[in-house]
Amino acid sequence: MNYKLTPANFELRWNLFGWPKRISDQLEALEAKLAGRTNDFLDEMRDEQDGFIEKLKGIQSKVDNLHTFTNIERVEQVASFVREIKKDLIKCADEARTFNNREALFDVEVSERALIKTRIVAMNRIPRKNATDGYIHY
Amino acid sequence: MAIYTLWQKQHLAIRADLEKSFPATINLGLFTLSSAKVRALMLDKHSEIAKKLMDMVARVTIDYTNFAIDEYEQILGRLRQDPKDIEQIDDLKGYMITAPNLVLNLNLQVSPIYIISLANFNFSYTIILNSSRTVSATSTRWNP
Repeated sequence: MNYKLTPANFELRWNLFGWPKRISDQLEALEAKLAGRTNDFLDEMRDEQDGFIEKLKGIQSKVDNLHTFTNIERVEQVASFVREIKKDLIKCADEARTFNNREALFDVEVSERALIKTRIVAMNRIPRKNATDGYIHY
Repeated sequence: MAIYTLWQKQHLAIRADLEKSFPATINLGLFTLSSAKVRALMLDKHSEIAKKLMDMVARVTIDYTNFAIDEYEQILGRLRQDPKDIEQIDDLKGYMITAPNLVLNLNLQVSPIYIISLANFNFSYTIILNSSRTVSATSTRWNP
């Protein structure tokens, strides 16, 4: 008694048997591809870090210039400027965290970014007017 | 599924026995009794049951094959993803570590089905442990 398989089912079986090899080939190809992509991303991150350092320098100079504001009548204007700096610093702290995480993933030395933290702490110490009670808090 | 192939073989054995032992005519002295119609009916019945059992084995094998191919396609799809950042590369590397085990598990799920059905199809094959498989065919016909 013979049982004839349809050509489609016959192909299906060979198709199945070929899959482990396809997966194995893809794993090898992916390994090579990922090595290249990792280098690309590392270069990208280094470029971004250069931009980030420039940005930090900009914030630093803004902070350094704060002492030039001496006119009490411009206090509101200065306060909003300070709030903006603080927002930028918090954003920078997030970016720094991302960079540090990525450095760990790239398996390169993790950069020290204590400066940003120090700046944020310093900004928190600036006296500010409370919106609800109207008093200045130190 | 092994039980179905066993039943199927039993039906073929019964059919072969009937073919030998069940005469088409029986002599009763002056009379001759024709049992050809009953004989043919019983032989056909066992052939039909055996064929239906084979159909079922084939159907289950095809279902399992389709299931396994879908799973393999999902694995390949994941391995073909283009990472957009280092975090995705890290995820992909993690998945690459698990992929050989996924393939091995699929092999373990599908192999028993194929050992049963391929044995019936007179196939010989070897599983190579590094997740690739080579198969050599001797026939596309089922010859019990």
